[in-house]
Amino acid sequence: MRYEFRKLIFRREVFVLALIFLGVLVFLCVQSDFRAPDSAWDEICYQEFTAFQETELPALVQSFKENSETGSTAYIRTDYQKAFDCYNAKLSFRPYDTLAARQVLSLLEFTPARVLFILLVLAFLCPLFTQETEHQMIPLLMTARHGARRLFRRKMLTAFLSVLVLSFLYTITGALSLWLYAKLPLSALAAPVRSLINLHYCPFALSIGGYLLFLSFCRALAVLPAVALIFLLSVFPLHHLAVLGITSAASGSLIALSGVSEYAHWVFKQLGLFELLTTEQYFTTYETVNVLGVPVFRITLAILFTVLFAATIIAYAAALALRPERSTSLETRVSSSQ
Amino acid sequence: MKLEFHHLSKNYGETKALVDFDASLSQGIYALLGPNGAGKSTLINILAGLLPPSEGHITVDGEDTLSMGPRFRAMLGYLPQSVGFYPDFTARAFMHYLADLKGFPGKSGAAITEKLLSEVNLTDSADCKIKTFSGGMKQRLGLAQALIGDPQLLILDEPTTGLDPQERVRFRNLVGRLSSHMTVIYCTHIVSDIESIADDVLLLSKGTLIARNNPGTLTEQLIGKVWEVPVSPEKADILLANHSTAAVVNHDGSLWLRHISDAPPQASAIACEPNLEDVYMNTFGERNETALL
Repeated sequence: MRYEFRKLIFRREVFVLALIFLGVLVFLCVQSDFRAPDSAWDEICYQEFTAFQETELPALVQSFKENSETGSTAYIRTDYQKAFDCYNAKLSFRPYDTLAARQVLSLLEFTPARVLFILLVLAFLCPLFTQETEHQMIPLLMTARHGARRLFRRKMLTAFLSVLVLSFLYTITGALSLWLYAKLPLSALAAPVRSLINLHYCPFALSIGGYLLFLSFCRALAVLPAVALIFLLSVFPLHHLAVLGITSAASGSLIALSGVSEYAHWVFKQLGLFELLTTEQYFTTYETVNVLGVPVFRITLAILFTVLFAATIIAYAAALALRPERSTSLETRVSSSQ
Repeated sequence: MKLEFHHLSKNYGETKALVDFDASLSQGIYALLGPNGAGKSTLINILAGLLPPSEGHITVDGEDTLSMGPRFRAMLGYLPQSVGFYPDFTARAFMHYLADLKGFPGKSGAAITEKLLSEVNLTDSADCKIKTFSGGMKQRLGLAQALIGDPQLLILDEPTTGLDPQERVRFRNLVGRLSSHMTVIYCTHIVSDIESIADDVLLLSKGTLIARNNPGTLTEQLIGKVWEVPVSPEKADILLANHSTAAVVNHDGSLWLRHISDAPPQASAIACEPNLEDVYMNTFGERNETALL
């Protein structure tokens, strides 16, 4: 599999896109409201945090965390939810909310950053699928004993591992940007994710760092359909830049359209295909959908449909790619017409 | 190993690329000779499993190659007409990669790689990127990858296209030396490539096998029918246009027309020893028995 990874590196367009991505990230940091706290601000944080520690609320929150792991319905209906709401109301300042983790998430949720991340992933992965067609390797590979099937398995594995790593790096880059610019303490990553306004309903006792890892995994899954599209397009004799262009245009425009019109990709939205890119609704449950009475998280259906959608495209592309006559369809027609 | 073609045909719509091809091959070097569009590459692609036939089938020792699947591919070595490489791979990495895909991972693949790179004289360039290779080096690397796994059937599809004469001779000698225990199908329209190494020549035209014999027997058929006539440069073009079995040759600075006919075309014509190129011209050109001058 190391040879599949070797095909990915040292591509000019990847470096260019990576530089653009980092540049945009830096620009967003500079332009957005991520003010580095001064010493007076630090003092306020410390006082509030100390005051918080001296109340009964930390014990309540701890108890709430331990009990809510039994299920989302349990935590919604128990007094612990009320206790948690009380904690939210009483605290005027949440040390790990405004500055650190929330800003990490909001930075990562910026549409331009999301689109750029997807473009970067596509540019990185494109050569993995297009090199064989581009460099006329298909006849050699199709006549190797285990050529076609082994190659297909390795490419899929390489693609998914690469997407996972890139997604993780994307998350780390966002967090590091805030650490460097907004003087975010890394210890903020250990805070409970429920301390964030957007995710106070999270039924799982995750830290912010753990949640970001989970986010990386979800983001990797979200890009899978686009990767599947690259695989499908690479079956045809297209230049890798054409494949990259078509896939990027399709993915980028769908995401951009979501900001313009809620109904622009209504079908995809209903199937949850873009849910994995928007984190706010991850752990909300459907009102009308349940499995034997157990509520279903939006993220569950999002993962299911995304994987199914990508798997369908990959299966179709594999069927096309593994046809024996694929390697000779153009060459033979040219030679027979001479 | 006995390779047999049974009534093999391939159609592209109305175009018949291959028509009822029947042949039986065993160990040795077989040359597939024919002009462009003769059906050579179509036959090769069907044999390599890259193209399904419209009719007929191919068997190896009585077993259909399509049903054999990976077992047939295991005994196959293939050098396509346009051989592709990953340009940023080194020769060694490329060989390892293909050895793995052919079922020789890890150390066994490494051992095979070193042996074959040595056979084709690429050991010194093994760690250079393929994009820096010359045409001849790429063809030698292509041959090396085709020999991975010691195949019983080696298919070479126009392997010397684009090579200079010295590289062609080197490649030819390499094939002759390394393929002593194989069935080699050498597809070409460059006659000199196979003249000295082929055991049998199969002549194809418009998808049909029109002749098959060893080079010596084929050339014997033209004994007393090949003539050379001195011509002026002005008349050479006209004669070539009217006699498609003719060729212009240069002897010590003067032009001679090499011509195929049953009778001497001129009083000054000199009888020549026929070669395989004459056989090619006679088979695929149209004889014009009218007087030359």
